[in-house]
Amino acid sequence: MTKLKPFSDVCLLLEGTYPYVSGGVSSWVDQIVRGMPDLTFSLFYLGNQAATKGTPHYKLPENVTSLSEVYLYDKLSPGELTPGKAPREATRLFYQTLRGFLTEKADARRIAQFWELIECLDAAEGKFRFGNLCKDFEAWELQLELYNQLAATESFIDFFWTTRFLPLPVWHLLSGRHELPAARVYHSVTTGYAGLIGAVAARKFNAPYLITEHGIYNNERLAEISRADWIYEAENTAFRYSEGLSVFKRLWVEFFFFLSRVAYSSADRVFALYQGNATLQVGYGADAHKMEVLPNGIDPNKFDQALQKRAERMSTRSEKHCIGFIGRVVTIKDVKTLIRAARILVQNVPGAFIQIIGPTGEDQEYFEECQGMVNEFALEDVVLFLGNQNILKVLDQLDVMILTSLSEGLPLVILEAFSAGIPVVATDVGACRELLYGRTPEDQALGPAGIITRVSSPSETADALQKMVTDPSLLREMGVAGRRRAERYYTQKALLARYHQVYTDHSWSPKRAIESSA
Amino acid sequence: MAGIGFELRKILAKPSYLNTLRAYGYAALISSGPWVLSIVSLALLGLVCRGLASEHQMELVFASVTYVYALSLILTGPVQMVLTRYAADQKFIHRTDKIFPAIVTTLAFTSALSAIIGLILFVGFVPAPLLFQLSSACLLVLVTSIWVMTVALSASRNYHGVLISFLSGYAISFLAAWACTHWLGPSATMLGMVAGHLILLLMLLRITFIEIGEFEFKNLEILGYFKKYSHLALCGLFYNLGIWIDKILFWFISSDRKQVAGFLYTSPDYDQVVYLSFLTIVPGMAVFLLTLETGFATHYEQFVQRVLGKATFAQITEAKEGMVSSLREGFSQLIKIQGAFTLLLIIFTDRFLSFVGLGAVQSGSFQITALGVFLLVLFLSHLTICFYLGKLRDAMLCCFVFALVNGAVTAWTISSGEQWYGFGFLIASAVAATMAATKVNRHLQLLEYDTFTSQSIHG
Repeated sequence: MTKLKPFSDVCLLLEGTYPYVSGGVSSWVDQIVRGMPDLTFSLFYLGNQAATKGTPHYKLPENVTSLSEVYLYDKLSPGELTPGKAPREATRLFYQTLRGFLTEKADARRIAQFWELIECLDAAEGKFRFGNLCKDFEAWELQLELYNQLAATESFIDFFWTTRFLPLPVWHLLSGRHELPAARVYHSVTTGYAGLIGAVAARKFNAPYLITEHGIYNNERLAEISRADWIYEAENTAFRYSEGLSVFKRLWVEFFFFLSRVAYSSADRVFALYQGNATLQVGYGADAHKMEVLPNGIDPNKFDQALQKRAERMSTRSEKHCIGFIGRVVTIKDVKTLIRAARILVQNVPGAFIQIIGPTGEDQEYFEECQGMVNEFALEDVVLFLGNQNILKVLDQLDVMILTSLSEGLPLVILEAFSAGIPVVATDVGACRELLYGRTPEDQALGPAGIITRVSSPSETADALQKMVTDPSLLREMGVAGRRRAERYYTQKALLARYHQVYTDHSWSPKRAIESSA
Repeated sequence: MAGIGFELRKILAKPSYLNTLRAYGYAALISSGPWVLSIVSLALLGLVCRGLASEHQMELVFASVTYVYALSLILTGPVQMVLTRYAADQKFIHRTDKIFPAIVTTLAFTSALSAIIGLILFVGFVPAPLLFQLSSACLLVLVTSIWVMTVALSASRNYHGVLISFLSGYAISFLAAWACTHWLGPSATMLGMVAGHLILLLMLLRITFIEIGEFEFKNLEILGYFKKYSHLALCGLFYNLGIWIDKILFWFISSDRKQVAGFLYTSPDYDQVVYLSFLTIVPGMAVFLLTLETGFATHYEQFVQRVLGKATFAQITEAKEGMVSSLREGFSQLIKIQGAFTLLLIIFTDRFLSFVGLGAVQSGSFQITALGVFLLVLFLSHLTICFYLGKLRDAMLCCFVFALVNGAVTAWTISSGEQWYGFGFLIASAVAATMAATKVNRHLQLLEYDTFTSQSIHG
């Protein structure tokens, strides 16, 4: 851990992202930190295991004052596994509180009890260790009580280990609370563990706390747990069909949902990328009046050249219609629906062809299946796999952009297409509808920037594409609407301005931001 | 996708369950079983050699053999337990090939140690013909080795072969001792004993070699086990010390003691009585080991299977109740049989003593020590359960208390007069049995808690 300065303007709480792991969220963080050189940032990074952290993917800018790291699935030290000798009264109080916390059904009270629990731990001053949870008879009794309450007909050994592993990452996390850097504002870029420690930090320093979620953490965990085969499920039990998840999976799910609830309840402001996510967040316990939709942004001017070149190309009438797909060739992008759509499309529009731009190596099997389909349908001249390309250089060749994904957040490629004046056909997932048709009435007045289709519908996709490529004026109108929309609502400038504002002007928070002592 | 979720698969490797050791029960019996056999053969020897050697010469043989047994048992007490553990562990991980080299290595160490002690004691401190001195030292080495081998064989479960070896070994000892005395004179009696024990040792080695033999004789890993299982080693030491401390005190501080030769003492009044009472250990231990084997062990296996086999807590507790009730049954059977046996002995003490040629003066001490043996059987049984449950530290503490109380109270009884003789052993057995029973009771109550919480979260 490196600590350069004890105090920063913003402390970002990052779970499995910046600066160690690349990806959409990480580049967003990079954008924020580099975009505000006048503010200082401290980073609190949560990783899986220290041994597998690797090297940072991003070079830290000068305005990052410190980087703290906590690894949630590291082995506990032998000292931490040895029960501490907390005073009898403190131990009794701790287990009483823990019992109340674990058996409480009402959310609000449960969250209150969580904070009492933290106070108990603070009071024990390190004399209460994880070893106590493993060895204390009180802990065992509590485990039995919960077992009888929740899973009395289930495998006890699985219950035992599940309930013992559940608190392990939280314990690592809470041990990290002593390392939390002092900052004026705390900002976690997910809920989950990062959200929990964000809430703890905000409470500790009585500072404003905000959350930005790109995906919905709860949904991601829910999907992960449903698929997990390492969580024990009794076979042939009826509840699997009636209630969906086994007891052990439910325990995990509820655990993660609770983490998020603590974060939401402590947050002074919750940002969503688009309205759909905001609705989900409210469903998961975020306060509706704390919500704010703040989409991702780009710099449309970077695409001026592509816009111009494309406009020139489009002004001459051509029988060729280039449709571009930009993204990884993986299941979630549903390239197969696109290939089926291509087969329908070329029957009606012989000049249409599809360029698939993006890496193919991530899921080799899926890629080969796609190639197989192309051969089977004899579409070798229609569907072209181009691999990785520099997007700025290829955008001008596209008449239309197509997105057939099964799931999306707020896809950056759509904003890039808009900036280059390219209309988009996209499935009705994530923020796509808002992007193409507009979110607010004012936004909608700009007109549609493309056509939304149903998920996994080759015929609808083909129809939409046909409608657009065969109508140059529609294409032009939609392109103009897209560029306007990007310029008005999705600029990096607006994004940075809004976050800069919430970082520096804390009037939105009931808490008074602490003043720098440095 | 942001967030790390969990990658517990690797961490969730299931903790391995320690093998429980059936052999422990036998290890406990071993220290008394052959000793019982040797008492019998010595008594017979005394009878048949009556005309061949003087009473003093026979006393010398008796005292020497007794010292050899006492010393070898105390010496190998720690070794027995640890070697048993090692053998069971290797068996569990299917490395039986490592057991034989470990036995040979252990034999090398114990033989060297017992040879040094035997030579110092018998050559240095027992005035007797050199042949007698050397064969006594030799016997110490052999008997020590036999204890080590017996432990190794307790895990092999070739009871039949072991039993035949012991019976023929002692028969040969008895016959050869008689023959040597007859042909070569009284100082060669020990030579006959040596011959018999040598044959016994060779037979045991043969059985072991046939079963698990390797042409590899060195395994120093076993030495690490003494450090790792120091509780076990100390347990063996304290237990055997506890069994012998009252006798040793009678030899060295009692006013009734009798110097046989040099450093060899006996205390005839106490010795004879206590050896005789000790014979009564047999029915109780037999009954207990039988119930342990058929009832308790089966239920314990079921318990472990249910724990690992994803049973509900109610099913696990039910299996534990099965263990407890089989144990209760075993103990009630033990108390009934050993109790009735002891009661009969106490009622008919005088007749019994006169039958074996002891005087009525000793009947009080006999009754007290017979009662002591009854309690010792209870202690030993609970101790075995402690081993079963893996409570080595508690077992060690019980043995320590047993030795301590026996030593302290015996010392006091010696100074307080004959009417108190045997109370040291009685009280020590009572205290140790109570202590062990309390521990077993507590551990059984907490069995589920112990079973689960003793596993480390990191596998």
